[in-house]
Amino acid sequence: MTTVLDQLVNELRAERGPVRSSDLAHRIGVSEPALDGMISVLTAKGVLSASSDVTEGEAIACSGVACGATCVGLDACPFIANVPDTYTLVVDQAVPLPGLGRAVEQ
Amino acid sequence: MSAFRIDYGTEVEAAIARLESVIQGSPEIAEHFDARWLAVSLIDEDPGLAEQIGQLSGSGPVLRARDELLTGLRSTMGTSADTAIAGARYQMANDIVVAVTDTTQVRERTRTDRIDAVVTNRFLGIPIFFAAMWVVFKITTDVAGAFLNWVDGAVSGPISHLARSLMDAVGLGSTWIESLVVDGIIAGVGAVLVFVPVLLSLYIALAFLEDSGYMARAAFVMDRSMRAVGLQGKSFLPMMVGFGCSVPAVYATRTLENERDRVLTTLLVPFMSCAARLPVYVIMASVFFPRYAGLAVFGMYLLGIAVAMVIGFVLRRSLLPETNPMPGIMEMPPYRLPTFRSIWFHTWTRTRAFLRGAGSIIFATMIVVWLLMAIPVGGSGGFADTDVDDSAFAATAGFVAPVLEPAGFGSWEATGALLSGFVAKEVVIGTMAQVYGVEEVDEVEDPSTLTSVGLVFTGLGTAAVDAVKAVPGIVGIDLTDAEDNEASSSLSASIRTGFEESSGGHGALAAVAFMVFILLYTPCMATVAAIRHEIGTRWMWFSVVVQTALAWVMAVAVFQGGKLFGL
Repeated sequence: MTTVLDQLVNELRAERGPVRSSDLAHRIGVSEPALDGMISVLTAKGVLSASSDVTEGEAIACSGVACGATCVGLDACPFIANVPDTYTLVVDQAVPLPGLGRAVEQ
Repeated sequence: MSAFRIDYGTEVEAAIARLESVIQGSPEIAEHFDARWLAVSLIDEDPGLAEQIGQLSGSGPVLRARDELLTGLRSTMGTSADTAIAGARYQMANDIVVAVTDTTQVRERTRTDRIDAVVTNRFLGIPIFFAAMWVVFKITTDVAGAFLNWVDGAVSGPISHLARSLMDAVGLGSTWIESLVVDGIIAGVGAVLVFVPVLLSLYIALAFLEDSGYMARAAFVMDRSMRAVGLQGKSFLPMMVGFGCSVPAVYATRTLENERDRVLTTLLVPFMSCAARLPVYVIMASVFFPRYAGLAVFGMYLLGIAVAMVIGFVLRRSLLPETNPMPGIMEMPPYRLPTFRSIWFHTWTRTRAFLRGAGSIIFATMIVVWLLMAIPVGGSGGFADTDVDDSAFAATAGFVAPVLEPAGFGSWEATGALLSGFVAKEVVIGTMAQVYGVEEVDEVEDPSTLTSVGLVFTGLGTAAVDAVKAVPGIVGIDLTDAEDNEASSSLSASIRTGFEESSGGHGALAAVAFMVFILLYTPCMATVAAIRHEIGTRWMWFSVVVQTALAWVMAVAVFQGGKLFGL
């Protein structure tokens, strides 16, 4: 039996391009806050990578290594564009999640 | 209330049952914990729990069994047990939500949903993105461009006159020091500062697009296009940063996991037209295509994106073969009305960075350029008293200039500006101001300081009126007079004359070729250093050589092709 997390991963694998979180939530029939939680779990488990480790990118960009005298520091690096948080399916994890059972009353 | 438990699926449940039996065989552990809870938690790899259990006697068999079961589960299921457990838990939560909520009510579409349906539409998304960019460049060139001559007047008028007066007052009038300060520093750095209104308006427009939430959509829309030519969608994120400055953009490629993607994106980032190139486009476009300056500048940005995509396509099929596509989720922020405070913060920090650049690296380069122009090579005259055509700068640039003759701008002035642009692209304009300014200086009679101050104030009024008249031009309603559009400074006239002469009367064509060369040729030295730091020396040389060669080929193609078509 396919779980909602399996559906999420399968929907992503079927895409070649990016998918908006709101579209994905609609497709698998969950709310966006619920999807956020699932994304966090899959990211923690290594199935998704938070490419928006843009924080890291910002730190690198504003490290002052190359901007030299024009560097204004990490907090105010002027050339960092606001980009959306992106979570990418990690390729070597892109194997079928197992069919799992549902919650059952005991 | 009935108790319930989650069915974690056949394989996991079997492992749980096996571990439960092992736990029950260890009385010291079994008396402290519920056996099923502990078994599930251990298979879920609950952080810290194994360590806590390890302190109890009889834990050895339990932990060994756990390790064996986890290894077995991974090989049979193809994924980790903890992911499977999380999936089952989410499924249970979802089942409860479905059972207790009314799903017959259709969720009302929000304003963000309705806007997104259009803005991120598969077919409309890219035209809308380009339309937004076109409006940005119309604002920067037509509306803010109205202030160019005003700032130019202030720099070359009262500020220069004040500097001369001060030099006279301290007995340094008509000396090489006065020439250094007025012709070198004020003319060079001032020519760069003239473009502060243009960059200010660019940064305001970009901050508006970012804070409104549109830029996130632009990344989403362009992501699809990048994949169409074999690039990872995430490559567009560093490229967006590259519209501001290539240096942080190169470092931002570290967010790409795959090395081939990182190398490819790093090589493509310099094709994104950074803010430092904008002043060069603006001055060339306003001199040669005053009515279509916005379109010309916009065209350069589009050309940069197009060339990057073509180069990416070629490299993907040659040196850097395609990697597996990596689908992903993008979280779009809701649309919101930007606040004045936020827009000002973004605008000011970016403008301040530009001004710091003008105060450091550009300042230093302008002094070096002035020195090279002051040193005589052959001819007559001494230091700072030589004909500029006989200077070290002219001799150096003149040595390279013939290479650029087929592109229509093979003069030492244009070549020297391009050479200095390796330091920083803003320097190109400063150098042009120096070389063309020095040539014209004898022809210009200085007005009095008082008259200049008066002209500055009247010029501000005229610029404000012109800016207001230019606003309807964004939607195609032209309220400006023909002469309003023409760049009227003496620098503009000198540039026009210089390009007409070097191109044999095809000045406009040579100007386009020059803009194309500026767009494509080797990036500034800070970017080259960043490329070397990120992907190594060999790729750095590849970038420098390929970009310069490509710039030459494209510039020559534009100039010679245009001549063939009678332009």
